[in-house]
Amino acid sequence: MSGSNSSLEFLFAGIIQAVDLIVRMDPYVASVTKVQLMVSGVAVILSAITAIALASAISFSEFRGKELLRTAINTSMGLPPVAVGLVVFLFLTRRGPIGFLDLIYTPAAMIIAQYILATPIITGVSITAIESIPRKVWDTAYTLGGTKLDVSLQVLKEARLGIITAILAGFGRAIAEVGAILTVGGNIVHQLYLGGVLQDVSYTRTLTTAITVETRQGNIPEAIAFGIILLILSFFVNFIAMWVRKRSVG
Amino acid sequence: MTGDRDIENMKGIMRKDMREIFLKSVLLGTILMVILGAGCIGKESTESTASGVTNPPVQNEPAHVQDEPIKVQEKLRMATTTSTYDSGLLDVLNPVFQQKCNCIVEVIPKGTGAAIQTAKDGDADLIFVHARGKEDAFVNEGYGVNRRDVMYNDFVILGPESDPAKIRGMTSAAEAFRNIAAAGMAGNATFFSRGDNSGTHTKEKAIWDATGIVPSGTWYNSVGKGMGDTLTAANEKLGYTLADRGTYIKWKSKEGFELQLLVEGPVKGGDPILKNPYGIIAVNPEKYPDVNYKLAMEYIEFVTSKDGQELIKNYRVNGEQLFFPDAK
Amino acid sequence: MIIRTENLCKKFADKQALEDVNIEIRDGEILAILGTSGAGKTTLLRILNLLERPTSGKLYFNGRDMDSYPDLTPLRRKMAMVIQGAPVFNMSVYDNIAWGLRVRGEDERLVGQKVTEVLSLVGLEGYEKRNARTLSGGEAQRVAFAMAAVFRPEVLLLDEPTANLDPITEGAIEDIISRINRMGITVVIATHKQSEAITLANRIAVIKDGRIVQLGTPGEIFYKPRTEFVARFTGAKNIFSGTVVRRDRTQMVVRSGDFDIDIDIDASAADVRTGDFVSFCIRPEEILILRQDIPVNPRHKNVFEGRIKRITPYGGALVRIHIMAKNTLFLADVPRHVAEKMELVKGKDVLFSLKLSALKVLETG
Repeated sequence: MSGSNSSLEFLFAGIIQAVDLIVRMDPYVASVTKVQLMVSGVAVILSAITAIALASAISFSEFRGKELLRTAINTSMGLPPVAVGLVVFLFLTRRGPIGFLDLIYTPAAMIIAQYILATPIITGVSITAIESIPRKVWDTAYTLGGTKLDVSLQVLKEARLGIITAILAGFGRAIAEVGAILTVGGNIVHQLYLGGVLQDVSYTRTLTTAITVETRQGNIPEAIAFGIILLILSFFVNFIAMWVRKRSVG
Repeated sequence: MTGDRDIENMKGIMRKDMREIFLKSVLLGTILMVILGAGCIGKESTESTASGVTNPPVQNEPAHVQDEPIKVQEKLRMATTTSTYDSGLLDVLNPVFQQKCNCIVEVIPKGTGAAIQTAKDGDADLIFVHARGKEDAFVNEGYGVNRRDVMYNDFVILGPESDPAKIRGMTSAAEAFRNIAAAGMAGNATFFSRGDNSGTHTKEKAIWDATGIVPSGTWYNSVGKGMGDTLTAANEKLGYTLADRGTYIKWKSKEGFELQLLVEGPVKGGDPILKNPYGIIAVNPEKYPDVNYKLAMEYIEFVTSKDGQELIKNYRVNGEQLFFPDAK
Repeated sequence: MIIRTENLCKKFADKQALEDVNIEIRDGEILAILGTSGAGKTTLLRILNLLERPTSGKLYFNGRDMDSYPDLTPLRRKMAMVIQGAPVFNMSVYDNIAWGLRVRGEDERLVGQKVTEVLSLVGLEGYEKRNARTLSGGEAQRVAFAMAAVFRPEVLLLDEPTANLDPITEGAIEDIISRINRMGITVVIATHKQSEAITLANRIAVIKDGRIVQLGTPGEIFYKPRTEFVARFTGAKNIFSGTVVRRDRTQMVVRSGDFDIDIDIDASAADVRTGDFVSFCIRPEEILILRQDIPVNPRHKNVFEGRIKRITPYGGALVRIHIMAKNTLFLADVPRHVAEKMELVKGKDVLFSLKLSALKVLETG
């Protein structure tokens, strides 16, 4: 059969074509990347808002069911994406409780799924970051005349690098995830005329889901291109996280 | 002071959690490996029993014992489409063939495009697919030889009960597609395409070609996945789609499936363009000398024979005939 | 602002941190709360600062019960505490110091001016842009002072302000504390260092196991310790006990071991009767070593003979003479030059006297 030489050629040819797709900003590749960033970005921004509020509530106030909530968050940090996808699907499907909103197979559905996946992680890591701020800092803010709100805001500020790390962790999980968005997003592309040329334009197709389908269909250059972009993204996220961690130590 | 201690405690707990997670994953990994290992061992043992059954070792004939277990059963690798595989037809055809030639048929189910690609890479001996144009190209490029028609069924156009494009009962698929496109442009309808270079997708494109319309716009959704995923999406969004009759028959009785058959295919007297012929092609041994050409030819002989055609004709799902013999 | 506590108690899960604390903090004074670690100093400061609620007892601010204030924030904003270890925020020195002003809604134009002023007060001119977390311990402590002093609280509570600092920085910080006090700010210092208490404080409260055992001026605390604990803690090394064999209106004689010691009677010993068993003490600097070339006046009381066992340096200018007399050890602090002039060396026999007025009878318990 094919020798090692020709398999290497096959791989190189794929990579070269992939790089070409990226460099000349192929509209299809670009649109898939855009959808990925938009979906994961919006989901993580919403998650971050919720997570900081939740983490603040848990860290700064006493209420009934607090420990239960904390346990729920900790156990939700490792939710399997496919299961989340299924649950979101069951809610959003036309026959589901909020099916009338007609959100299934839309970017909104994917945002919801990723929001559910990212929120517990960002919350959990943020709580750890907040609670690692020494009690003395809280007391200092209080004794300098801060109200409960002033104290909380200052502690959040002190924990900012930890919270940024938490958000990056959430984003990392969101962009790496494929199971949930494939189920609720449907991996849809539209055919549109762009500048007079018929183009595939992603509607709910993301880098991860695109890699899955392009590989299955034998479109190796596209799959490699998406893989490269995804890797660059995740390297970038991890690089920032590392930089933040270094800064917080230094 | 207490705060610091709390944090220390918390860190301790975190570490404990990490440890727990680590231990759990190691445990899980081990279990998985054991299961996989057991699976392999199980497979080996069943294979050896299988050969043991066909060739029982006879104690007082030592020469045989030496020879027989070493002889490996011949293997035929068939790249085929998900529709033949999922329909269960191969579960009827292959056992008969295996018994006849004392061989093993290994089925690689993929979309038509991918199935052809597998054969082009030399990883199959035989393809059994439905995309006439691509099949011809496969032969013309020298990858395949001896293409034969095997059978056909047909495609049908599905859509919501409300039928905003008003295609119900139309006898021209192209006409129906034109209506769908018009309704789509007007924002009243959506269409869901497999978009995966499968046989169904290839047929869909052929119909669009016949309309002279290039489908474009947000109403035209390309899913890039299998028939099942496409039907799920079309059903959820109450859109139109093209489906092979076999899959439709299996899906129409599913809970919550609301799409209806709006345009018939040729099996029920509809537009001939919706005919879905299945061809079978042996991989050219001149291209890939290590393919099992002999066995591939035997299989082609078998499915196009009277016996094979009879099996196809009599195969039923939910009481309905799925495939129609077409060998000439 | 005058703060007064009434039978203040604080109980934590595992221990009674404060018990029946009655103390009044007077306007403009420096009050030192002196005690060993774990005595309850920090807890008391935290309760005064309203960081912690007492388990029982009352707390009055300007004569008004704390519980009658509907909102404690305005009250809290008249005070500030510098927490032990000088925790600062992970921001610039400027933002750290501005923090207390900003939460009070201070006009941002005035913030800059006040920060500059207070930076010069603590001797950190030009430090505005430095990140406070990168500062040394002493610098951080100065920033912590500035953070509290910048909004001119009426009461400043300091928890171990010179712990873990080198002696020079310690002196500088003590200087800053005096300056802050001179601005009219009442200062309460929790400390375990007697030297710090005596240098800075107008009054000292000695705290032991959550109770205030003595409250008074430094002179009273050091020279009239009320209990054996205070005596020991403030460095009154010579503590004896014995039976009162005789007393009249002004003096009494206590027989301790082989010695009959005469003691002046003051308020603390008013109730002592003949036959009572009492403890008493005398500070080392109150024991006089007599010159041998001058004959002893026979009317002098409390003159004893002993032999020098050991001489140890004590705080640079002083030496501590360990004298053994009839199996009892006396410690006497003498200026180094005096010791040299008198040729005090190990093994030398000396006469020494205990000043009658410097002997203090201690409360039992």
